[in-house]
Amino acid sequence: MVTRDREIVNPAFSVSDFVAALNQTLEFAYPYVEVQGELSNFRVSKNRWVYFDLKDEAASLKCFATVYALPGPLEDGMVVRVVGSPRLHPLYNFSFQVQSIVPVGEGALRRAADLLAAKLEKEGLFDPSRKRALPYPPRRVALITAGDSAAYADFIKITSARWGGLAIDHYSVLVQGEQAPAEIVAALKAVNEADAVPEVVVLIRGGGSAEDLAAWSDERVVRAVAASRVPTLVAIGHEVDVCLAELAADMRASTPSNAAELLVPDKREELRHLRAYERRLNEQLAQVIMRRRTGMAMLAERLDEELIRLAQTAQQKALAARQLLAAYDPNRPLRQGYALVRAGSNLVKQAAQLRAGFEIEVEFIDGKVASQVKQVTMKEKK
Amino acid sequence: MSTNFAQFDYAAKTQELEGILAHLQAEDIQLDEALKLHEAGKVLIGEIEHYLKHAENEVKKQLAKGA
Repeated sequence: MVTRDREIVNPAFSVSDFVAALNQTLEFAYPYVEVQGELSNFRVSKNRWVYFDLKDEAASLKCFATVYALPGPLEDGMVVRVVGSPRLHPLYNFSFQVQSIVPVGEGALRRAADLLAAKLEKEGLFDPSRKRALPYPPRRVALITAGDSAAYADFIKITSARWGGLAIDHYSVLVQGEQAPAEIVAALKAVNEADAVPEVVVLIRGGGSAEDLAAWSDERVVRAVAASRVPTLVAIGHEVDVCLAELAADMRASTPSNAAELLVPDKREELRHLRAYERRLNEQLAQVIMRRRTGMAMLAERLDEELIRLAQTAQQKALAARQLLAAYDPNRPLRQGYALVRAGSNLVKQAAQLRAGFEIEVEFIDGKVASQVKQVTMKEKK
Repeated sequence: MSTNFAQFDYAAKTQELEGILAHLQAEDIQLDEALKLHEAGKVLIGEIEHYLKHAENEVKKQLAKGA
């Protein structure tokens, strides 16, 4: 070992020992350090290993990571902050071993989100045909958000004002920072594996800067939202903020308060609908009764018409019978001026029945005349 | 009236009520059947109203295993 005074204290190190000693020193001095710089020579090898340089105006740092450390697609020129530790590899020299990478600054964050959005859109994660309808109203929901946040308070307050009977399983998570994506993903996993699986999982956080909201455009979070078997409702930030997790969700709300409004109906409105149902119920029964009454009235009317028709028919028959009777009235010819001639009790219909000297009786309409035949004169046959 | 709101299926009850109203609109419905349906509708409305006025939400803290 060489001291500060360039005095050799111990025997010379072997190369391996020196590398090991140096790594111990680095681990002691810099076990976990953040470095910020611009990405350069970024490449992914075999879909597992990530290599890039982190540079500024005067220096460059060789970095190595696995793909699991990536928040999404990255490209040269983006400013990123990496967390990791320096190491001297026995064979491959010095590198900074990265545990996490996050884009820094609104520009880099926007660019990272755009790259990831393009990639995921191509995979179909945002496709409208994937969106599932949420049960309305649900009976059990999971809520993933920070427990001590305004978003949580607003959501609970508005949900309680609008609706009742809802079971809410709250999973408290970090909603920003490097650890947030891992916690959000773990919470989603827990929701999907719960004994009492909810009907909807709601993920919310309030407004913030682009960096504050970055976790909700992290690829792990977006994929977990898209893969959730439980339908998802996501509301991040304000109306103008659109995070990739919202695009992957089954339903997006503009704010946590809006999420509560979309999730459950307003019971005051439902009570008004119920009154309208009650009115319809009574009206429809009244209509049934009215139809029955109208039906009975129509039946009575038809009965009357039938009776009248029968009476008219009977009357016509009676008239016809009277007319027939009148036609066969033996007094009819008498009323017409004819006379009935009888010889004894027999009616005389022909002159040939009589002889001179016969005693006959002639009946007129107003009486009878007894007389004797003087002479019978027959008509000439033609 | 029951206070077991956890088992109350609001959507199903509302749909049942819609079904009764639709049935009552049938031209050939008999009066006695209409009266029974009306009674059933009134009971449903009572149950739904009770739920809307008295049910409350319940919030439970959950742990994400491994988070």
